[in-house]
Amino acid sequence: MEMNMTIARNSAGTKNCQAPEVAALEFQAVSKSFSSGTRALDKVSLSIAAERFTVLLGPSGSGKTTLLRAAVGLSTPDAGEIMLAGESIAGRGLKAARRRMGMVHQDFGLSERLTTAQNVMAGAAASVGWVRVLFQAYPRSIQLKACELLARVGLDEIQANRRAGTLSGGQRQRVGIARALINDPLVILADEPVASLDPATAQEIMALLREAAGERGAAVLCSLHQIDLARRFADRIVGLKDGQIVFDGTPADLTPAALAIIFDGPETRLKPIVAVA
Amino acid sequence: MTTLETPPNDSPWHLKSPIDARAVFIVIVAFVLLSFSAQRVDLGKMAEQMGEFGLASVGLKDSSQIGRGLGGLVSDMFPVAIAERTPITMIEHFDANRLPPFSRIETVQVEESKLDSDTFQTVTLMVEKTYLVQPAGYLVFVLGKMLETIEIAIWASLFAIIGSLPLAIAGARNFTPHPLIYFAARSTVSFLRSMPELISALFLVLAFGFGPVAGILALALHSMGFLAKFYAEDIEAADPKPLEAMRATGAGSFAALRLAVLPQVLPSYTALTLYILDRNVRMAAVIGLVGAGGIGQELKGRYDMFQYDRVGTILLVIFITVLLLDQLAAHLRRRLI
Repeated sequence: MEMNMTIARNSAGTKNCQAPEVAALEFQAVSKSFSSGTRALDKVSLSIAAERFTVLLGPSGSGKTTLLRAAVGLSTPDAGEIMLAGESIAGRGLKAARRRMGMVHQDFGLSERLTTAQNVMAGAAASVGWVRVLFQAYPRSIQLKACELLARVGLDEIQANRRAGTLSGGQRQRVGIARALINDPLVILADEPVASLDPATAQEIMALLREAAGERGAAVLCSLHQIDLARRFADRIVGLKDGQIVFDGTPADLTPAALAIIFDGPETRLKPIVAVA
Repeated sequence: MTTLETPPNDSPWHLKSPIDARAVFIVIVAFVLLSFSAQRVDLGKMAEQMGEFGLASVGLKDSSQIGRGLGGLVSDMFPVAIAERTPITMIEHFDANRLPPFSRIETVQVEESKLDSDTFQTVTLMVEKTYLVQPAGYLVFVLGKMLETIEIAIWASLFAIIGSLPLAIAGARNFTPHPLIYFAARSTVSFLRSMPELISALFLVLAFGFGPVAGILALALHSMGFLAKFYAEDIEAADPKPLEAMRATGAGSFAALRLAVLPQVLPSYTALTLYILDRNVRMAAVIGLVGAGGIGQELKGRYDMFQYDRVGTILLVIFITVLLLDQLAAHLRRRLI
């Protein structure tokens, strides 16, 4: 595992030119069905290139969230493998894999009564002893990093010390992005990160996500249902429908015909909203 | 189902009425059962006596049973005992030159009748009796006992908080390490809650003897059950999204609990803890009745010796202390939550 880390990046934290064969994140024939009988993912195979912004585009119930949750181990696939930088995330590898990934959640996933700084540092809690976690006495390096990241995402010192619950939706998602970046992740998984934000704020947040991830050499796998945002921010768009990949190309390739395949079609309209495990 | 009164040309929808036949039936059954129960617990007598008391207090009746009882009690209790008079013969190492602060010596001449063993006749003698009088002696003593009671309550609450945390984590469905452990934790909690403190104090006095230890343990065990149940329910009801987010960062259960769950449940925990502290002070006062230390023990002792003026002092001190602590708890609740 340590060897893979050095292949992927040098000690300063920025990525070297990566050999094209080693994908940052790879899904191999991943399938998942829920107890209700719905087939959320149907032998999905996908290879996410390092340092690229990949968007999973599709309507509700197409399997985007299930795929992302499977990638971070919040949901276990029935079949198939998921590899992070060549290592399987199943079993014992999961905790280590999670520390090399960052996740941005649709509902932000912050602890509202902790300050924004504490929320960002909590992202690094996995690498800190339990006594430090108990008193939230993080090492100075982590504190400095948190402040750096908060500044990068556009928050100031006063906001750093305010409870996360007092922030607006857009500000909270900025904190979420900062938290996702604190471990210098290989991949950032973003599950509908702007779904609860107004269009203007959504643009800002998507831009921030793309820039901040790019600066730190992290690949992004972001699920969206907004076509305009996908077009504007993605390097590559993967269209999902009923648990299968129905499109894979650049934003330029996203023709109305391709969109019709992804979004329209009687199956999509009749399908109930899938409960996420 | 009741049909809403609709104007003639309006919708045919039937809206469900909240008061249906089943609800009415339940109310009637409850009413009948309560009537039977009222007879069995002598509620009629209570109503009669209260009516009598009401009439007596406005002068329409000469006296009432409640009035007589209360009147006797009040005349015995007031004035309450503040001072302490001890015969010096009962004080060890009494030194007239080194009296305790604020105390004085009183000597009185009392007539005493004694039987002369030679002549078998009753002889009246004038005897001098010397007392040490401490003007606030008994009050100070009672205050000391009240402090002991509060200390019992604090220790019991501390033990309860510490003991209930692992029980709560084990008894929370989203954090328990194993279903069997969950079951064991929940059963333990039910058991602890089902034993009234006074009864467990009785048994603990047998095990640990008279004194505060039995009281502390009795209160701690019951409070532990109470706190563990509600702490566990709070953990289970916590918003799962921050928890999932923490797990997604690779954090273990401890970090997830500390950083995602604890901040959410802390206001509720604080409220519960303050409640338990408050309740334990009141229970600690009572628990002495079975010998488990504190002011209750003193209360029972004096009551059994018919020294109602001292009982009055004790009751007054308990009342004022609980009142003050109530105010303090309310103040703390406002500041902390």
